[in-house]
Amino acid sequence: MKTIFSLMLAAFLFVGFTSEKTNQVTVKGKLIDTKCYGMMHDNHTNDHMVKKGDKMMKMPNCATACAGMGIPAGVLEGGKKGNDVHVVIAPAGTFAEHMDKEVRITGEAPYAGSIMPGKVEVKNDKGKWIEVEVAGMM
Amino acid sequence: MSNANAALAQAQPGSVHRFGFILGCALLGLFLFSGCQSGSQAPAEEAAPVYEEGQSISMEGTLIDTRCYPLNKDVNRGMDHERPEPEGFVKACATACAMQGFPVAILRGGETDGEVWVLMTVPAVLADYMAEQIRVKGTVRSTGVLIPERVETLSDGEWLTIL
Repeated sequence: MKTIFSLMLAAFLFVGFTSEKTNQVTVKGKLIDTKCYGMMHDNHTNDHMVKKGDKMMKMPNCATACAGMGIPAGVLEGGKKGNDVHVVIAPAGTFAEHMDKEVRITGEAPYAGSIMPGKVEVKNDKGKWIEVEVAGMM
Repeated sequence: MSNANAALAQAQPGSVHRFGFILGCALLGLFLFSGCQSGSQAPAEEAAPVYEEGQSISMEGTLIDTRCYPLNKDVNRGMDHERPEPEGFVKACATACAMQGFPVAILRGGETDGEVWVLMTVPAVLADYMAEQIRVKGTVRSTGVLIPERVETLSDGEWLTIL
């Protein structure tokens, strides 16, 4: 009888564990500045075109500056403009130096169009995935 | 021969069968339970409204902290939040999270489980207004993501522009 209970308990724990993990999602793409990209899809790199009066001006390192200010960062899926964007539920300043880099985030998606990161990795210049420490992650 | 193999060789055929029967029952129970779980999921909810990118939209609701709200939707739409241990109950957590840079959002209608729209703006700018009733006019980035043009808070029955 003890054996039956032990096996059943193991089975329930296994099912509980696997169902918990089903909320996890992984998104892969490029880190972008959600505000400038929202204004113009060409703004998916670090340098942006912004409106100054009647003219459009090129702003170098704009994505880094925007993330440094605290404007939420996002993941542009596949890095291609027009694809889905997932807003990263974490302080944007953490990503300032990684803007426009390839990123891989695993976490939960509690809201439409957003991801709450559990693990964030960016690809470095040598093509290697490096984990980024993000304050207050799950 | 190892001890385990020796023990198995000495075991009565009946006890081996009994163990197999118990294991079979446990596995059957597991599959039945898994099947019940997947079969008992709630029916598909009503189709959510579709929003177009670039669409202008206005809404009223509560200004919430996106980091804590999913952890306890009833409590964490307010100012003080329930956090996992060792943090526990944190006073003025919403303001602290916004100051730290966690994106803020409007909980449309202010009710638990209402639509959440994350605001594409600097969170710290709105940190002083967390958990307050707000009105936002903005542009849809995608469903659930809004670029705010104007944010107002209700003060003494009047809407005051805060962004």
